[in-house]
Amino acid sequence: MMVKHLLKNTEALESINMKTTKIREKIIETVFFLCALISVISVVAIIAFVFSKGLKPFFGDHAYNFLDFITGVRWDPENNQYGVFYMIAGSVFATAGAIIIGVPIGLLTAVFIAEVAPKSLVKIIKPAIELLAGIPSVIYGAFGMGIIIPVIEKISPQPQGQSLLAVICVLTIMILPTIITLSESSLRAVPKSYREASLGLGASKMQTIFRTVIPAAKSGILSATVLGIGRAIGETMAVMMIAGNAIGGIPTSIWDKVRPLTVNISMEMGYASGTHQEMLFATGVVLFVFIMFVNITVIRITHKTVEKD
Amino acid sequence: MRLKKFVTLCMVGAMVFAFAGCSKKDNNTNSNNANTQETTETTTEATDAATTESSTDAAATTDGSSLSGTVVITGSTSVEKILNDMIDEFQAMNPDVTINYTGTGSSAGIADTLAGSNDLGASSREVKDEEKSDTMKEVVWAHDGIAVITNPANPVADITLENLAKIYSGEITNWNQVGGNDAPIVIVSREGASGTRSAFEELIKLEDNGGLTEDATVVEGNGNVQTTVAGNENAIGYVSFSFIDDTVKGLTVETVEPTAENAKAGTYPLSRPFLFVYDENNYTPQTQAFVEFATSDDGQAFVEEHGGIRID
Amino acid sequence: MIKDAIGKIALYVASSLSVMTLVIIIGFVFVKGLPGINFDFLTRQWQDKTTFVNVTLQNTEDTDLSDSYIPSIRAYVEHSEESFTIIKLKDGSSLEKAKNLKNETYEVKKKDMITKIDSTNVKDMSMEEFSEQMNSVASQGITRLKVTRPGGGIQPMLISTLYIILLSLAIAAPVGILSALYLTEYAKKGKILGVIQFAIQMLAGIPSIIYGLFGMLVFVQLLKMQYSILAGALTLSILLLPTIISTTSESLKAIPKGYRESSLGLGATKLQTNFRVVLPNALPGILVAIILSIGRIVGESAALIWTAGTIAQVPSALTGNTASAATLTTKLYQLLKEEGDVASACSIAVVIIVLIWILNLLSKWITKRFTVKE
Repeated sequence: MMVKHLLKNTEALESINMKTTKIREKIIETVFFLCALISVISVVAIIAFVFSKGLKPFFGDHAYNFLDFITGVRWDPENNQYGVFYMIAGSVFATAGAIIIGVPIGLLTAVFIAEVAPKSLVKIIKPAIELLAGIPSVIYGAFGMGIIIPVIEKISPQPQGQSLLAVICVLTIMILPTIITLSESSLRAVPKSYREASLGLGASKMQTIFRTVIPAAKSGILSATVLGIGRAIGETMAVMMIAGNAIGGIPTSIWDKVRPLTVNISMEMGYASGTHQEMLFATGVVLFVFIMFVNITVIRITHKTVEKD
Repeated sequence: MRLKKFVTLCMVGAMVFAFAGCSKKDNNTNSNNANTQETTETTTEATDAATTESSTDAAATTDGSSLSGTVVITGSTSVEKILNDMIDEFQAMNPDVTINYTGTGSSAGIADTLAGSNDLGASSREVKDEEKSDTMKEVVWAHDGIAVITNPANPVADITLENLAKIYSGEITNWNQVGGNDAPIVIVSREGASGTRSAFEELIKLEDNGGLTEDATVVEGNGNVQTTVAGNENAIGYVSFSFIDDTVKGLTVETVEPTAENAKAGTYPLSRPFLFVYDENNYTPQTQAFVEFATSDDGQAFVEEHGGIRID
Repeated sequence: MIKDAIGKIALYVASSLSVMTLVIIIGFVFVKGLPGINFDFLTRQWQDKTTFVNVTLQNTEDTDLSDSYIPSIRAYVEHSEESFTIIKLKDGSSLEKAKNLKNETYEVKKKDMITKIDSTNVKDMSMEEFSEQMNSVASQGITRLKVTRPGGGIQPMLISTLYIILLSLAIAAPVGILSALYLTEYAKKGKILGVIQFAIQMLAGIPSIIYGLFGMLVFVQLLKMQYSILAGALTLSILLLPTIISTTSESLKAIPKGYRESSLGLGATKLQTNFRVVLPNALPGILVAIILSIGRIVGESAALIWTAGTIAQVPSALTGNTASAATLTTKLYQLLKEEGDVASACSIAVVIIVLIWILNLLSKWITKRFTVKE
């Protein structure tokens, strides 16, 4: 009897043990899940807070006309003028310029590293590119102020060096590492057999690279480009030091001053209060919408490649 | 799945709770403040006694005695150099007092004082009418001149207020219109809400001329104005007196040299006060001691050292 | 053939352009910044620090007749523009036992400057007058000196940067690693996983100025942390999450399935498998994630200026009045903006670039060792 009883007890204990481990595992899994959820909460919180503060000035008694805000071409907080259209134009032009110059240079450099350069050279170039990627943006700004601005001042028809061109130059340098690294890895991912087949058909090395390898790595290069756009449009500190930051006017040439959205925010953030501060958040909302488009494009592209695999 | 939903709900609940907790805490401190205010109002005699006590305290501090606590100063960035030196000296004399100064701009400094989030606001311009409040007091502790600067290579040596306004509003665009070379003028201005900018624009009556031209290059901070002007032969900018050095040239305005003496005598037209603003309900002995120090001879020595103008 | 040549030339031109920009940038920074770097620059406080000290002066007869020697404090001084700098202290100098106004010992050291004797300013004194004044007050016994310890160094920024790195990683690393574990080991394909991954990709794309806005609004203002290292670290930890999660996930995915199966087969629970088998094998990847994050923190400015402030001091609290601190990068920016001091800014930039370079080497080295093992 006793023995049987004992046996039963141990069985029960065991099952309790099993249950506790199971519960423990479940609890731990939940903790992990909560950690993973923090990212989601952060995104939601960022959107909620920035949007709620940024959309405030367009509602209520002293509402600012949203159309005036989005189409306005003068930013003069002292006189209650908040127009951001010329900043949007500035951001878009600067980003487009950086992409037009940066992508070809970056892609060709990536091709050089991945296909042409001898290993010894790669060993020097690659760490250099990686270092370029790690240099803080304020240092790029200081560089722009010290080198690029004086040069542009000499060649520009306008009397000052702060200009759209200066911004494009610095942004190009800043997106290069992103484009080079990502394009290079997608070039390397192109199967060897592609190259062999092309070479076997009598194509030269250059023909193989430009007609076979690059098209095969298209989606990787595309996502590198879009990430580059994201970086260029979001860049703040470097741009602020070289853009000229005019208080109004759409840039009509590369020698004109610009005031990208990011600059507008950070330049006046420390000083602003009240409606002025809310308007800076509103600028942040505009910027965020742009970034959202870029992000979703990136996600779409990477998704497609993953599905293809 | 159900578990996850439950957990998510819990999370959200917890967050809401946490936020509620925070705001509750605020309420508590607020009501505490309100309470102390009430008591001070009802027992005037007691506070009188207290003030005399605290002023003796303040007097005693010069001998390095018992003041303690923190003083939070926010506001103008133009006064940074002077204030940092004053703070350094004051803290040396009162080792138990910590003073924290953050340069946030004059408008923010005044707004902080109104909101009760600092002990002392520093402003480098007059307080505007719409910023005034019954309990907010102002103390002028220095005057400052705003220098109009150009590149040393620029032959122009003098400028009139009228021409300044015309340049900054975009009416005059070439140096030869003000007696210089045939070269376009590069206008350098400061970011919106900078105390120096609003003081400068007010002094040259820029508003009457149609406001700042869109052609102006806008940079952040006195230092950036100085480097930009130093790097461009055709540039014109304005900075606080303390930022003039040999990389830029200070113009005479209406033929008056930009010197502390001239600004003090009132002949130099571009000068402005440096102010402290404080809420009289939040005027701690250590804050008072610091204000007294700033206006004392020792404090004024620092004002002079950095190109500012003494109040006496 | 011509097309080939053009292609080749294009490749060489493009890559030399890329490398040239790097050389020019590094060259610019080093040429301007390197002269300013010395031991004092790395170890000194940023701001001059003034202290009033009480010193017991000795009226000893001393045989040292050197002009620069002041017998009453047993020290050699040097006359500079506005003050007298101590260049050497003899043994037993009373300056070593100086007391500050709180009556704590404050050791006056070499290179400190004496700017006032009692209430007499030494600014306009000559060497002889100074010496005379010093010796004449010696009869009083205790004298109060105003001593200024020169600043101009980046020590507080180095320490603050370290604090912010540690604090941000203490928050972001556990959260990020556990998130990665969940995503690779537990999560089943489905909506929730999709949402989480979408969120992480979104976070990765948000520019740092938006993080700065968010941090200022929520941590600094709403939660009343003021400009503080905690507010800065919390903001940064969100910004770091995507890097840590994706790098860790990659290394988790690279662990062969067999490891997990054999561990589970031996009777280990899933939890034990994760902590004893999966995580240790992913350690190199996690380390690389952490090093990448450190690099990001060191270089960050826009997200920190509006959350941690720009005061050059070592913070003495996590939040509140005394917790504001500038990192190397934010101070560099502040210098350019307020002082227009390009030389000092470039000196700081040299320090940052060297740091980043070391971090890059470190992560390379770890990855290499890891792949060799495989």
